[in-house]
Amino acid sequence: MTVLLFAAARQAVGSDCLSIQVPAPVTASTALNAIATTCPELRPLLPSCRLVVNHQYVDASTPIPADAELALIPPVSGG
Amino acid sequence: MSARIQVVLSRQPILLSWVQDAMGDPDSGANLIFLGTTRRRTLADGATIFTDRLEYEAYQPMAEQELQRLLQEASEKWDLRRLVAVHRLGVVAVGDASVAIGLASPHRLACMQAMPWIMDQLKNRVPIWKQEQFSDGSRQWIHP
Repeated sequence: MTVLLFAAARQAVGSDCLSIQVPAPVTASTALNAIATTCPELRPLLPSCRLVVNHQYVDASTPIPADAELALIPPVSGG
Repeated sequence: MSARIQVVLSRQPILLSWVQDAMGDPDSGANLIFLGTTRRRTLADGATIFTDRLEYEAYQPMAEQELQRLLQEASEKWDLRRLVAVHRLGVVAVGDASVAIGLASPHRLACMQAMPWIMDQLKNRVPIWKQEQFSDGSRQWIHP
């Protein structure tokens, strides 16, 4: 699955997306674990990040469909 | 009467006259515009630091949807007839507006109560990020 990256997360990885392998059934929690395993450089940021599935914030236990658009959202700072 | 919501993410300067036109409603007697601008001076740990400019990026499709959703929620909490949100992307110089919220309602209380709620929600959940560029050349992602 592909995870879109923004701001500090994008900068830490040096790319605007990341490919992760997650065994089914995928939840937000297992996806976040896979992100930490794939990209150790993101680990310090992950506790303050939220996961977004198809443009919506989700809880840790939310099931994620295989074709979903995933994004890692560091603390936002609009305004 | 239903509310009309307009959301724009723009790389161009925010035009106040556009916001005002978008808020136009003959049944509203109260019109409130909030502008957030780039502040030059920030006090941090007792020292003053100077900002040259801010640079904004967004998860654009979600930012538009989330702004739409939060304005919809505001229109359900308060009697608002026009809700307009414009947010800049890219570089915003000191003194320039990065965000404009325009609200129109029949009476002033609805606008005045809704505005702080809308800005708090925007700063908490809309996927937009700013990177501060200081006068010493350093840069920093802002984490509230």
